[in-house]
Amino acid sequence: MKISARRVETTTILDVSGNIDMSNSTEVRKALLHEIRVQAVPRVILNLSGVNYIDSSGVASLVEGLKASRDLGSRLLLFGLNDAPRELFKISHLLKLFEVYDNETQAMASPARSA
Amino acid sequence: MRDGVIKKFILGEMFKKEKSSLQKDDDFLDLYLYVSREVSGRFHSVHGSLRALHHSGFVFLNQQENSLPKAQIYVSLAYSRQCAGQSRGRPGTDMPPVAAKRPRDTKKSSEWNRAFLLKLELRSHPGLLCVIRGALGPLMEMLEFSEEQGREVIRAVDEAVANIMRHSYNGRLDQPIEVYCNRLHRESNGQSERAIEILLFDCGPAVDTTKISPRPLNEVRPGGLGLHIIRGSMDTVEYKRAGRLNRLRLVKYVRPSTRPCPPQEEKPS
Repeated sequence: MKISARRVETTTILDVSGNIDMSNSTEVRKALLHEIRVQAVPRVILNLSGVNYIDSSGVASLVEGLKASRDLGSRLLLFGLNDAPRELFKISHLLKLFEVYDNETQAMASPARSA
Repeated sequence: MRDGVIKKFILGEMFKKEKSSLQKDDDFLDLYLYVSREVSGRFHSVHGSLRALHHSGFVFLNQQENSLPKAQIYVSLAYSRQCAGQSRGRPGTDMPPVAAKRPRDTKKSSEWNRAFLLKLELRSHPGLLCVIRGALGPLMEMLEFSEEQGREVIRAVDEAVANIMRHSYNGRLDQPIEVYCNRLHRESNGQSERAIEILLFDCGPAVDTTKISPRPLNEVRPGGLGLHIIRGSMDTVEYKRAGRLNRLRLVKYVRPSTRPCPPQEEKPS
């Protein structure tokens, strides 16, 4: 799995590729929390278009990132969910919890700060 | 013995014997894969199809063919990866057979025909989860599961094995896990019903089933989703303590229409 960060104005976009499971989900968690807590970025967008599989530990990392962003008044957005990750989000009832967009353009068009 | 039915205790003994002959001093044998001829043929080159193995640094070690009763053949493939650190265990130590002497745990259903397809022996290292997913993918395709159903099975098995690693073995990396995949088939009322049965064995302490339950999904907190995912993905989820082993049995029917219907309520007269 690979994670790389891009900065677009006040937004950080984390591009993730590969599969996220118990063996590497802590890397996702660290990258997310670094942007949200340490860098205090007002908006973090996670690009999951290169992720074909994510397990419950990966989802737990995203939920932790979401909680941290809510605590700090920032936003965590997702886009590019492939079939398997989308199904997992669906059966875990997480689709309504996260802001999920189809692509980067749509995600970037959303407000930078939570209401 | 019916065609397509393998006596597991015979297999267990054969596996055991074979493993000792494969043992090498300088290798750490992480993974054994046993497939029936049926699976082997459809995989083309079984180990070749398991790209995840190669991506994970595994080296193909050996392949043997053995005859089983009723002229069935299984192919065993052994993979090794050099010991990378102390946490991975002691090189040269064979993995104890988990389920070789297990009791006859499969249901003696008079209706279902059960055929061995594939068995994986692995250690409790999270890096091997991708190998399990890689092995199950072609198997689901072979059994004619839809893509979505195949993903459900893979997801459930992945979560179940991750639970064993996390909870049963408390994160220890060198403990044995065995995964059996069987094909179930029966004719009922002129209709053919097919399913996959997956049995997972580990040597951890017995699970207190009264203390495990999936968390409410309306809670926004990380963790606690694994069991919910397993139950939501499979048609049957059964836990049983079998001797000194934990056994988790997962069943998925190939088509929703072939799932056994619950008894209908009697209509009031």
